[in-house]
Amino acid sequence: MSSKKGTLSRVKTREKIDGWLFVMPFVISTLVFFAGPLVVAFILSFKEYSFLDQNTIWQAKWVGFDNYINAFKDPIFKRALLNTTLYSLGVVPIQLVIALILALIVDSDIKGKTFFRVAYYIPTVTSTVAVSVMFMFIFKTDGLLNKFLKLFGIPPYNWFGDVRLALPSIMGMAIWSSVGLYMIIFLAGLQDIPHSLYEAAWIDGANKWQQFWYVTLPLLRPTFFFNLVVSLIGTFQVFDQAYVVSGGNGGPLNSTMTVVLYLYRTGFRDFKMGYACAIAFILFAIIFILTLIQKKLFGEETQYQ
Amino acid sequence: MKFKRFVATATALVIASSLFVGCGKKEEQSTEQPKQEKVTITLGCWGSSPAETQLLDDQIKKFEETHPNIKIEKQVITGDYNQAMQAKIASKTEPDVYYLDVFQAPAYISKGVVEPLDSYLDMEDVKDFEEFLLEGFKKDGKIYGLPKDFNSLAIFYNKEMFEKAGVKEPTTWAELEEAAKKLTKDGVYGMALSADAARFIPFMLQAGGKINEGDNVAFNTPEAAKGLDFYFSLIKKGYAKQPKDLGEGWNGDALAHKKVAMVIEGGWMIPFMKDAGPDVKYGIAKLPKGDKEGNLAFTVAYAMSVNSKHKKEAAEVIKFLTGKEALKMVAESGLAIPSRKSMEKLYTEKYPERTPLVEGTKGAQVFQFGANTTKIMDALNKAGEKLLFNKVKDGKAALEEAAKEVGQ
Repeated sequence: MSSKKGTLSRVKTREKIDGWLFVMPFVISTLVFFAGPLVVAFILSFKEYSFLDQNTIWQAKWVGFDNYINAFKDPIFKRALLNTTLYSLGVVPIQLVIALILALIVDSDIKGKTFFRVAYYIPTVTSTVAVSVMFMFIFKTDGLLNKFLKLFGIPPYNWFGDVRLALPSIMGMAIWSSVGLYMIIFLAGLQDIPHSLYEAAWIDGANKWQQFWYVTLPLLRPTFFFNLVVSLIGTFQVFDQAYVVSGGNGGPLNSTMTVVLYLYRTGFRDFKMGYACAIAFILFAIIFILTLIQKKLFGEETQYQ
Repeated sequence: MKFKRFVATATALVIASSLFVGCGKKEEQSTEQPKQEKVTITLGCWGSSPAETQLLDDQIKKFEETHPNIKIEKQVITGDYNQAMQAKIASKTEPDVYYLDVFQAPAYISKGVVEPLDSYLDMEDVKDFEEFLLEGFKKDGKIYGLPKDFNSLAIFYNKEMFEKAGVKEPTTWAELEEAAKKLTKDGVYGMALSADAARFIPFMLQAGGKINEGDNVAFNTPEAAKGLDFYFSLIKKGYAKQPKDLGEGWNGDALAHKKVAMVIEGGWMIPFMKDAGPDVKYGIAKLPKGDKEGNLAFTVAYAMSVNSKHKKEAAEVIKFLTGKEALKMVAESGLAIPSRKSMEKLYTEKYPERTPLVEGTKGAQVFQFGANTTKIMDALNKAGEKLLFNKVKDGKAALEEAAKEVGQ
């Protein structure tokens, strides 16, 4: 008996080792390409460093919290943070509402729903740079949008060149291009809701609207939470659209300067990698706190079955 | 059974360890090379037009013919060159020789990543280079890069529109304004002007202003403000439009699509117009004179990495690629103005209509403003935008705000 037990535990240890060996490529690549850089970036955020420095990261000058303190004194960073917040406040709710409506449509029994599912999802798989360039054609002074508005007698406008309109224009573009992703997730959530619940509601005399309000929405809560978190993180990290539309400078007059665009510029253009890392961690802290708040508000797991 | 396990484990370990090796530093090549052995010099450059690529390839080919012991391996860096180069420098894997834009030169030089070239150069020969170009790559009297070629700004104008309106090439500010006014008709504007410091700085210089004094800001003067005000007055009076307001990507498009009669651009317009506006007959005129002449020169040098293992050979490459033979090829290609005085004549003889581009370099300054170059450019660009959107009352106020921003 005892010897058999010994063999068994030996087999178990073996299996453990084998298991680790199998996941090793993933573990190592995560450590090397994700966790490692994360730690290094965190250390760098307390240092004065640029990639062009001849001394190594470890030899770079330690400046304590200076980078973090400077960020909150930096008017452009504050502007970038404001822009990013406005962008997020505008994009997230509109995006989720539209995505939910689209999901409800393609979940219903309309004709050609497969076509619509694909059509709405296509912008998501298109490169954001390609989307940005396309929108620049639509929004340019003699572009599609202005030609369309002309039909109603509205004079042409240089959308991306206007201090007040540049950011909203980018927001419109972001909503259009990412709504498909959230639609797909909502769709999965909708199809997860057991049909029996709707039948029960129907027998109880609930109309379509009541069914949506009292069955669909509460059961969609976990999906909604997931989408909210992902969407908020995504919008706070907005970079490519702003980069392409403003030609990399966040213009006109910093109206499209986002936190990540500013981070990129300080790190690579102004050669202040330490400062850029500090900005990255401030952004991380903001996103982390927001996610915790959301979890508190929407995140409780509720089982209805 | 056990053997199979062993093989599986070993394979997994090998795969895992190969991941580590891949990330580690490459084994250093032995420095003691036998004399006859071929040395490979890597050459970092950005991707450019097919014509320019062909030119560089031809130059490399010629070099390899005359230097059988050195092989040049071209590394074309796509995407953001400056960003990619920084990553390479940080990991000490940068090419031995690489393109260095004059705009980035102060940062690279002051960080000590480029090798001073003085000890490899024949100082008599160096005198042949245009001094104001070389200045952009000097620090404390040492030379850190040899300019390969350059371009300056000029007025590119639509000949037909000029004839129709009876306008001659403007040579002064007053004439420029008059011409722009006359040419603005039938939905065409006199000029395309953008709120871009790289285009309005020449006017600040022409008014007698300065941009920087060493590493300090020097643009908050009445003279510089006068130049700025003149430039934007052309837009405010309606004789000029921003390319974006015309639905065009940049000045070049506006000229190619016949939406404006004049633009201020450089030699890169020539190949561009060939493709984008082959039916537009255009002429090139010198920038107008304000109180004096003023222009910007855009140049790129070959610089050597301090980490290069074959510095002697790398210097050979730089000297050849900026040498008379290679620059003769530049002159003949007409793609840019050769950086050597002795070769400029060759360029103007072959392309007489481009003479204004070379003549315009009198009073030109390289596109670089000391250690604070990027900050100054950001601040000036913003000053231009503020004027355009009427956020400040005049050029003087805009420049004062800009000077404060740089000081921060």
